[in-house]
Amino acid sequence: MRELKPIFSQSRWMILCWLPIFWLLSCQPKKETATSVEGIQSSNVNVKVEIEHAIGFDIIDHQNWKELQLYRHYNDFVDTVKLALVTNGNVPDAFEEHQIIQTPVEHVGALSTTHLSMFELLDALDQLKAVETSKYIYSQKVNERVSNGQIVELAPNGQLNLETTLVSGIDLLMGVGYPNAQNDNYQSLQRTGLPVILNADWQEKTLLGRAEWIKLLGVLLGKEAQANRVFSTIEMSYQQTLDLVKRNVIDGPSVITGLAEGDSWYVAGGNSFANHILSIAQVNYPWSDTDNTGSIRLDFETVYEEGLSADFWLVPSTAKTLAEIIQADPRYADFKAFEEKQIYNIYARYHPGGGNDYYESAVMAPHVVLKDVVKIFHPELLPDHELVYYNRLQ
Amino acid sequence: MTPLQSTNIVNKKRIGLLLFGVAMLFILDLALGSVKIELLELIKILFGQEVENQAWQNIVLKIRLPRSITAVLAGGALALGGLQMQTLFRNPLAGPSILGITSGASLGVAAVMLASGSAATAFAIKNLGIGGSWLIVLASTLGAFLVLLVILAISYKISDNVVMLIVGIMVANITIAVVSIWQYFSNPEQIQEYILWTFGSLGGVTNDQLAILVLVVGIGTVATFALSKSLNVLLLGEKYAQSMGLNVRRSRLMIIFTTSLLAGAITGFCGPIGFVGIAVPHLTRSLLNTSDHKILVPTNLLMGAGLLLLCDIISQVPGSSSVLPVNAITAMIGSPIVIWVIVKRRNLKSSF
Repeated sequence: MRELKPIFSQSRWMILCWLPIFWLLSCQPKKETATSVEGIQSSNVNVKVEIEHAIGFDIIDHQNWKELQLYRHYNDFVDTVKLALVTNGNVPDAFEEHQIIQTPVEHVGALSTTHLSMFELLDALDQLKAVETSKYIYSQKVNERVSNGQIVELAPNGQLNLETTLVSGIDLLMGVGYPNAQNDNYQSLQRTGLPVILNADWQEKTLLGRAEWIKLLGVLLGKEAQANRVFSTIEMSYQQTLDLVKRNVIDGPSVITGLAEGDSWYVAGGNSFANHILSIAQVNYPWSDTDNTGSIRLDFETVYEEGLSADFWLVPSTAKTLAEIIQADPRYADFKAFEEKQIYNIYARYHPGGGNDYYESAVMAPHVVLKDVVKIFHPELLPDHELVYYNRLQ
Repeated sequence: MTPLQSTNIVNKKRIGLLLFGVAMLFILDLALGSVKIELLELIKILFGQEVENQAWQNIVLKIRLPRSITAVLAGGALALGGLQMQTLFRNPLAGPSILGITSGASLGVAAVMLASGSAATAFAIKNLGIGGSWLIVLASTLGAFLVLLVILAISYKISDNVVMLIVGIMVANITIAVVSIWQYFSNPEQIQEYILWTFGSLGGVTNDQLAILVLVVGIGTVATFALSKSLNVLLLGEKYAQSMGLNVRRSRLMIIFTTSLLAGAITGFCGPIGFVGIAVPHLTRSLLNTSDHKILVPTNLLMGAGLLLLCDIISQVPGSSSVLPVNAITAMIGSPIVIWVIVKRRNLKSSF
């Protein structure tokens, strides 16, 4: 999971120790904490921004300023962080100094690969001044800028270097919202006056929800109109493909996900993002009725039984060839999807040992991801589409 | 009839009962699982008859049967290793992992999963044509073997068993330290993979690997049987053993080698499975009330197999589609049993 990469280094090890326990806990249904989000509009010199799909944040228009609300729905104790985005120095009363961010922001640091694509889409690569580490970045453009020094690496060894961060010249740091993280480093930065916004795009439940975070960057950079335009183009294309599926598919093929590790096999839960992708493509997935928001730990035998007859097999962990799958366990050869070579992973665009574009530009390309998935499961609907992010194992 | 003879008859009965119990547990392990398979169908499948549901046949023959056989082998092998270590060191707390063999195996696995983090190394290993589960088996066997060599070299020099015991524990500590440094510098995904390995797994052994496991455990078991007499003498103390004409140094080398072979192979294929090695010898001693290794060795084999089969059944959580780590179950089920047995007997000292 490359998405997990930009976790704060200090809490990273602690979190790892708890990972197995998270998995066990994920057997229990989690409370849904979706917040109903409705954009409130008022007349403003700036362009209105409405958030319709994302559940992690909302932007409220006030007379001369915008209010950013970040919903930390992924925490055990759900809370809301309120920030004032101020353009002309009109400081609203109820906000303390550290809650106020002057916009447009000139230079931004982004700590997750999932943030990078929106800079490109908003023609704002010049404003991207710092990244976590280029090691996991796929984008050629960003990597070039890192190597010629235009972009600074804040965590080249996996540890966020606070001093480098402070001298990097960024006016705002886009961190990663991680469940129940203490965020000590972010707090130190905020004490020095560097605002930190926790981007929780990867905790969104839908493809469009993830992409909608581009509107947040739009507001921060003063490019609201462009962000709205980019997003509505994406949304329209997404909707077209979705309608195509709805019109034509009555009963989809069946699918399994993941790869066994030892005795257990982690498959996507019914309320997970992975299952969202499967359900919009109208596929029959054996565990779509479960409540889990993450993955479910099942035993080998249970998934094996389904795998024998499933038409497709999606994302067998990091396996990149059919031979690798057989090497992992020869019993996989019994699967129907293996015999018919209908196995797909997310390694169509990646650098070996480095960045994977699935965790980068795909976040801002939900319409392409949807087309990929539809192409896999219903190839007759999109005869001309070539897979972009997904790759068929050979 | 002398008291000794009557004990022998009682013991024979008990061993017979134990054998029956293990057989029943084996069948039960095959019959229970997430997927419900009727007993009649199960028997048909085991006798090679065709059944309607092809999936069931695959599940029984390719998933459950290898796993149950692995449980028998692993339980037996670890129990034998534990018995030998407890006798050699005359210490009720010794187990097959006491000499650092298990942590050596962990070191090997960590070397592959964590230290090879740089893509270059991983690809270099892949180019050798070894991949997937075999790579892990090979790595952990090598790790165990390296630690074994160190231990053997030291044990050749040092004749004091207590010193040997401490050296073993220290070697284990060093390997644990190396692994933890690697963990510190590794990616979350890699550590996740490693943590999953440390949970232990009986189901990851495929049919090809099983053949090798049978061979290695077979050799180890035969060697342990051959060592029974030496073990009996060693129990009386080293000096006494020497005066009985036993080559203590050679016997010790043989015992350490056999244990390492057994523990190393099991850790290689199944991951570190704790507890069985320490617990089972206590259970057998109290069941049979004897310290004669000619009887203890086969009984340990059975008891170990039975205990691990039981743990495997529980870890599969019959009727649910969930599974628990076998490593946790062995300790959770086994510890109370051992406490109960030892508290009830209260004469642990008499065995050593």
